[in-house]
Amino acid sequence: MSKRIWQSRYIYLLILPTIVYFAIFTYTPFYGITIAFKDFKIMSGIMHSPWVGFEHFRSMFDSEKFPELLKNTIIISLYRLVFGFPVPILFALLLNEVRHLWFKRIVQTVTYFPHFLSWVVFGGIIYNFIGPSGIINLLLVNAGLDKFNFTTNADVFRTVIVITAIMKEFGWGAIIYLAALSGIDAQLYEAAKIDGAGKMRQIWHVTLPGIRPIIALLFCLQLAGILDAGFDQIFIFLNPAVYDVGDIIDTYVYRLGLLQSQFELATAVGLFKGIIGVILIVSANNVIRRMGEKSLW
Amino acid sequence: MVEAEQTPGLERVAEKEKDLAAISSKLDANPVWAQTVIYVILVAAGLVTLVPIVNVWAVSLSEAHAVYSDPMMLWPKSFTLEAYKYIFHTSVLMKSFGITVFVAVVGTFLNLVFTATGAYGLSKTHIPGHRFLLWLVIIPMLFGAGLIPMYILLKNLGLMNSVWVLILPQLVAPFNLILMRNFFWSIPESLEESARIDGASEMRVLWSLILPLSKPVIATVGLFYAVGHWNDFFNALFFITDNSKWPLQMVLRSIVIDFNMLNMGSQNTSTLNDSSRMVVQPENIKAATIIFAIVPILIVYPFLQKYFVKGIMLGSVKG
Amino acid sequence: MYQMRHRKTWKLGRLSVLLLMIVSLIAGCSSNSSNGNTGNTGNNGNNGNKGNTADNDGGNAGSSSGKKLSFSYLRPTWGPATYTKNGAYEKELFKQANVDIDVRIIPVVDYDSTIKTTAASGDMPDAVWATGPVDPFWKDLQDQDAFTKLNDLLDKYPAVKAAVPDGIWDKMKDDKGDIYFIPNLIYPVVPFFINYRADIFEKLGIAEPTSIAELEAALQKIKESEPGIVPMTHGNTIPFWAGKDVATSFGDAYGWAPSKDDPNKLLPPEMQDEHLNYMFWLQDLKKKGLFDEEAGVNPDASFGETKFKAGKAAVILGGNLQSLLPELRKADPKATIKTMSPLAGPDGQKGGTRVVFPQDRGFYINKKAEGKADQIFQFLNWSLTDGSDFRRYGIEGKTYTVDDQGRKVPIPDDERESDYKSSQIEPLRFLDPMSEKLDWQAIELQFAGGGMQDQFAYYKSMFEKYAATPYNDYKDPTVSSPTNAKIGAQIYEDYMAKVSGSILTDMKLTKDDYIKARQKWLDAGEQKIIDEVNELQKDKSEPNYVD
Repeated sequence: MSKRIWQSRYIYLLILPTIVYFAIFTYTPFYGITIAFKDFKIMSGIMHSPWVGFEHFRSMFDSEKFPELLKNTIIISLYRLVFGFPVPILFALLLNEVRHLWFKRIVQTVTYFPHFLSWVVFGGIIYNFIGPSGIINLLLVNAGLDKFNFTTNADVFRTVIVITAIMKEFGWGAIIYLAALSGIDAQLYEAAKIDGAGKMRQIWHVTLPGIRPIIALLFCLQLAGILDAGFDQIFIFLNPAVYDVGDIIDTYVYRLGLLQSQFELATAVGLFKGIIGVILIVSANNVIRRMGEKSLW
Repeated sequence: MVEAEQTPGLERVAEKEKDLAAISSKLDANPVWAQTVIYVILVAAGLVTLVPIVNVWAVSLSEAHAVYSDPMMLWPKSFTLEAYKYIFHTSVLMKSFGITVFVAVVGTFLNLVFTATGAYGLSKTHIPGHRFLLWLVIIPMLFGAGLIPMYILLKNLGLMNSVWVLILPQLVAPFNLILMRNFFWSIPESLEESARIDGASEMRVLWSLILPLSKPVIATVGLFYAVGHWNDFFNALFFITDNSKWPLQMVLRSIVIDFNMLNMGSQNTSTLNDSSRMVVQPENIKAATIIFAIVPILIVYPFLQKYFVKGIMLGSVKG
Repeated sequence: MYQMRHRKTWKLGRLSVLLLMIVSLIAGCSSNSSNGNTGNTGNNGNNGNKGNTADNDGGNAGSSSGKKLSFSYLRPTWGPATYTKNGAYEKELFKQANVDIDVRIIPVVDYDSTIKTTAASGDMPDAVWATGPVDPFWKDLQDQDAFTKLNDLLDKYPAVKAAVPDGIWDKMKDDKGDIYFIPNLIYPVVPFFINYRADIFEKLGIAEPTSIAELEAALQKIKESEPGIVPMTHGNTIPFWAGKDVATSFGDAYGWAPSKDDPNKLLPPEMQDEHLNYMFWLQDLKKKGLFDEEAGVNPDASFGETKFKAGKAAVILGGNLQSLLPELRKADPKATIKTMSPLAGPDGQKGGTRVVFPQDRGFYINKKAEGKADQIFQFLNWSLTDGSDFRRYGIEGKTYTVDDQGRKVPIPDDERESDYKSSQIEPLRFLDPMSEKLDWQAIELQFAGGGMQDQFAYYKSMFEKYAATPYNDYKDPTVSSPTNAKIGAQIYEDYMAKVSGSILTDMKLTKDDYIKARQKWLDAGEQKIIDEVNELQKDKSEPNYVD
């Protein structure tokens, strides 16, 4: 054992700076998590505030709204996973089939634009399309149809969230896959072609296996973040009329925190989300490993 | 001297690429209908994403009152450069631009150095304690201690109000590290073995074998870091108390976002006095500020794209 | 092969040199800044204390003599954060007042979250803007002894004390009679006029409405004859609040009021029929297509003013008259705006204006800066006495001009040099006395400065008509129920937020639904809060913030 450690000493040396960084900037402040179990008194500081045990967790789980919030958070996250996750992959695969370099580059650059607009700005532009006086409803009225309520309609709220999120981020999300695609050994295609494999079979037998590890990894990480349903976006689109389907844990905690400064509750919620994340990351990784794919370990 | 040595290799690669291209064009062209479908989908995707940005661009070049009647314009109305004049005459904006460029360039460089070394080390799954070290990186992705202890830490480190507070606390992003590590991990062990037989050290293997093979992922992670620095206002908001040291996004925020947009009024009526006091910026100035802030970072991407296009040929590297 | 290896070692060398440089750079910079920091705080603390004793000995003579006052100040800003230290205005202020203020600004949208975290991290500046004792967070902090007690200083500097009406000082007192908070004052009468397009009304032959019924009829007529125009929209805030003065026509004071059964019991607005009548009246208007379909829907509340400015709306509840007219004229040069007098209600109630509590935020002095409190008060005192003109008007030729009658006319912001724009001056503002809050001469000059002199007399007469019938919130905002501080926000979110927030967006929502939700809210703890408020607030008479 100690011999193996000694043999790997240079590898440890390479990891060292990263670990030192995490030790200082992430693990040193970790004592702050105790706020979740304390009645935080500002003038006493974190260390000297009195313990209250699981009171904040109890007030979270006992809250009238909690089951609904948890349900909304998970459903919206799953929608994102099922519908949003494959889009950048498909987009990258399509781009990969383009032979005109200039065309490929233009499309690549243009689709990555919206990532740079904040949700406040992007949401405002989307609203100009789908709002009651927006362009789409204007067209509907001109066509002699009734206006359609996109913005305060509980039936379509989650759909609007998922579709606009895809529109904003698919180009950005494809970058990782494009990098993975360009990492595939070109000789593999050559070999496949010599074997007489057609286009679809090349994609199936060379391209997909080439990016599968990265798909597995990103899937695993996105699953771990299932309780983060996208605060920035939902905060902009949310409206009391759609609270039943759209209010998520983060928006609720934010609204409470805005009135009072509930550091304790926010920390407790963060801790809860982290624990769920650990459970999901371990299970997802094990499933993926059993399928014979590398993901995290 | 150095150049001369590199050229033969490059030529060889270029030749191989040409050969490959020739083979592709014969064997691998998609049927015409498939090509058409692909192009149509991609053009549609491009248009969908282009509309919002064209809208912002058109508004930035229009007079403020023209925007009221047609907020969804895709071409400037009552053309004016007034908004851009305002920006270039606002010294705070120009200065914050410089700070952001510094943070993005220096920060990204440091990010890459630390991330690449850490990722390489963690890609060696055979070393004792590997799993433990990996978890040390995964945990920060899932748990955060909150702002208060972070604030106290940065203050004790004397980083408050320094431009380094925008760089050092974000030195390694766990996600990027794991991404890069998985790319390194997927490089066949056999390649490294042959290098080690030649007596190369770990640092050498990383520098002259792994990194050149990983240009796409380095470009990707570098882009992620650069964009992260570019869009960051959060750290400045809390940790930079002297507004002359603010980065661009922090100044931009105060121009682009006003009270009305965040629906904050719905909370209680006492803050509503803010709405009447708020100096709301004209739409064209808001739009021009957005354009001013995103164009430089947009330009970075096309320069990086060559690393995504070129397929790596492990064979040629081996040979 | 040898050569290749050589090349790589060389590269390695280059890399390590670079790394070394970076490390030293980081080390250098961080140590620099930490030196700077400790140096600063050390200095400040010491100077402050010494300065204080010196001043007590006789530094009161005025700001021109003695040591320079120096303190840090944290404040929200309401516009673009383009404030630059050492600007010309700032230099002039520092010279005249003999101060050196280290100002930190935070855009107002981020202010609360940022200052709360900063405070919780134990790192507040010497003088800090806050919501004050009306907010549970600050009240709690105040009770934890985080701030300097001001009673003695107020006695020592009567000009500061006189700037704020005694009634307001009383409200700032805690149960021991101690004052910690200096309120930022606003004039309690802030009418949200019902403004309308006089040219459109004239064209359609509609007389100016005098009652809710006539307003409704007028809106109906506009809807029928002008399809491209929204009959009524609202100004830059949530719709119900934008209509706070229309609400008075329903007898709704948009606040706590005595119960009809028991005048000694106060009830929150949610419990009053008048408030419900008003809110569901707006819902009804929206159902009929008379109130903007975007009300309560558009996340950007400024849409109503935008529509009005583009000439696409006929009536607007609230809205800033001084910016509406010039912008509207650009779209439609012949457009004219008038203001409706307060409307008579459905049951003949007399409309007026909902008066607001005359304090909007204010500032504390950090307990750690107790030694500097006297200096800060000296500065405030200067700004209210010798420096009064400078504080109010600024610098001649830069922020104001003197007209032929010798009056100081403010220069509009977009015509000022960049160092004298309001974004440079606002961060340096502290306390303006109540006596200046409604100064008709100053308002007239503002109108004159903006080229709207002819509108002034009309504006003033309208203001007086609205102010003639004040409606007050009976609750003393400084009375804080402990249950409310603990669970008030949560039970409101859990039971009321959805119904009260979707009256204008869910057309199927009825008063019955609202009342059902309200009952759950009462049972969950609101009833207890109401009882506590009634228990704690001894004086249940109608407040008078105006006189």
